[in-house]
Amino acid sequence: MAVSASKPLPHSAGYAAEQASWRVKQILLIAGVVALAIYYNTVGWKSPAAMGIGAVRTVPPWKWGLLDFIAVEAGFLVLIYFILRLTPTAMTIAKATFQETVRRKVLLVILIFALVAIAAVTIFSWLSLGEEEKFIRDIGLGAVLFFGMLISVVLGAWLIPLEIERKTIFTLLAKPVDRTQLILGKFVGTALTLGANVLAMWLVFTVAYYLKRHTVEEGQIWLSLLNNTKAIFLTYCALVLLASVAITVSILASQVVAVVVTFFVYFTGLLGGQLRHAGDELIELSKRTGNAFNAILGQSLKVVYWLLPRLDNFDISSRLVLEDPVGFNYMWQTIAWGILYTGAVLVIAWMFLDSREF
Amino acid sequence: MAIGDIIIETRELTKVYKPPFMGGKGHRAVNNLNINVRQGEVFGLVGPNGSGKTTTLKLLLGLLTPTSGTISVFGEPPRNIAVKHRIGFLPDGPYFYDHLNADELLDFYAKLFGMSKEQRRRRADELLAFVGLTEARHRRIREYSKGMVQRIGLAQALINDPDLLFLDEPTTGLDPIGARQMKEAIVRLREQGKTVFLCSHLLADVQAICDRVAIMNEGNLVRFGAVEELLSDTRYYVITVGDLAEEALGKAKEQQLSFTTPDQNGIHHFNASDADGVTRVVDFVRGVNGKILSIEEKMDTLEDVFVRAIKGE
Repeated sequence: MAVSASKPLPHSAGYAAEQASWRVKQILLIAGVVALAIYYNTVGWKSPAAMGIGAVRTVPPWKWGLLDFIAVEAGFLVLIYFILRLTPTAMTIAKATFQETVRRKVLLVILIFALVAIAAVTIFSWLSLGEEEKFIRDIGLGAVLFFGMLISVVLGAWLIPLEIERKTIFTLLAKPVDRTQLILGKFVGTALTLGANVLAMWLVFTVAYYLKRHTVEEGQIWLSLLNNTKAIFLTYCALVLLASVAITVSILASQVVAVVVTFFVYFTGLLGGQLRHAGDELIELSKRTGNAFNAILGQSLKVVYWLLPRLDNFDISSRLVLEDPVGFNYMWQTIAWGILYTGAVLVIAWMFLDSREF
Repeated sequence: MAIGDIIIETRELTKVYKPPFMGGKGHRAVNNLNINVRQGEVFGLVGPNGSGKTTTLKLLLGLLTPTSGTISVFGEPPRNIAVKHRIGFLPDGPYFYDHLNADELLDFYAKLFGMSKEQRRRRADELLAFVGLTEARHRRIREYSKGMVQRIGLAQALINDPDLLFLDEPTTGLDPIGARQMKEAIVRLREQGKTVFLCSHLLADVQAICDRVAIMNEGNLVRFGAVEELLSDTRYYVITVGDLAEEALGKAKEQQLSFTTPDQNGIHHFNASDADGVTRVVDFVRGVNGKILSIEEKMDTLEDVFVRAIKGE
């Protein structure tokens, strides 16, 4: 039994073809980001975090505050860097992560609970006579968000600590895998697993909603289903963002701390608007009363608001119930903001992992 | 690089573990370590628990950052991706993604090296045959015995046909036959021109297969050199002698010859540290009409050298 002395050459014809095809995909993704950046810098939109529901920006880039300008442009550059680092190596790790996580029993149990809960919503909709549609949407979409959040937190907080605990990270980092690729691979794998879970929940919710409502809404049913899909897609984006937070914290702290911090981010992120409002109120109050403490507290709340993800922007269920139309304009601006925020969180994760010792 | 060229070199390598935000000096796991490893040799790093072996290995793999000093692997820092293309690593008590089977596991690791599908398949076939797991290639890793996990660990370490192989306790958990196969595999790898960096507690194994060893204790390097050199310093001779009269023993004491008390057959064993000593004993025995029954060359084992080094002798 002899091992061949011939060294596997990474630059074989097959490898070169794979690399070329990968470069094309990367170029397309980068072109997308560049288009987004050009749009942002010329036509532009105000970040939902900056002013609420997506609206077109009226101030040209050269009149922004320096910090805003640097943050946003750096965000685009980070995205381009990550796309360049999203190599076949990172995608191999992502695929392996996905294959492993979809088999985890704890996630399966949460998913089954979620599916049962979503299906049960339609059965118990008689509890809310006259407001059946609201009941189904409120509880159904709430269930998708809640159970999705559980999956996101469990997955994000456990992935890298698990690699460290069972020492598989040793063999991984002894291979030609740099730590950016490891972070990106784990993140993309998590996003894929979340995608599969949210897809299952969307399917059950859509079928349940259709069966319950198609006779009542008749011609409107497809519009309702489209709106539900929009809501669930935005929820998915929020869950991916939340997972990036969980992954980042789990590199630095224990799994329990990662879970607690991510829960905190989830709940305070959903209350983002209220935080800002409370901050403004306190600052106003301090102006009237001359109380410096209120001013400090108000500014502190606004800093927390600025740092936390605006998860409330991703929750459109209440707008759907009020028949407030949610256009694709709002959708893509919210998603683009989410991508930038996630990119920034992943940069922090990469910095933590890069300096981490094993 | 040619056989004999230095491919790993550490200079004044020091690693201090210090909890963040805490005062104190911390724990000095590796202290001013200066070692080098040459292309084509089997190098052994030995030492008791807590001696700094694993820390050294992790530093060489780039899993830890040195507190001070430098590390060069193939002339580059150990975290360099180009270096990773040329090394393989089998950790101590390895654990792998146990939901995969052997084929899938090797395919996963091979993909990380950018191998094409055909290369991955061919390499998996070769390595599974090499480690004797061809029959078990479709079984999940979680169903493997400890020895089988160790063997698939060796296969994954060899997936890129590395020039330099790091093996941490490679025979741990293997039965005697498995351990012997592992040692034979290491020897075969050396014959193919590979360099093997071996961490082990099993000194008999290290003595049998290593060209050079470094012995560490409490973070310090206490012995370093070729196995033969370390052992040759311990060479001595035993001259077995019969028919010695009582008065002859008195003369032996006068001449300061070292000998043991006679056994029940009246046989004495004289010790000599070198050839001159042997000649003195032989001349003495002839002078007192004794009989020389045998002259044997003896040598300490690596274990003896190790124990003395640890005791600071």
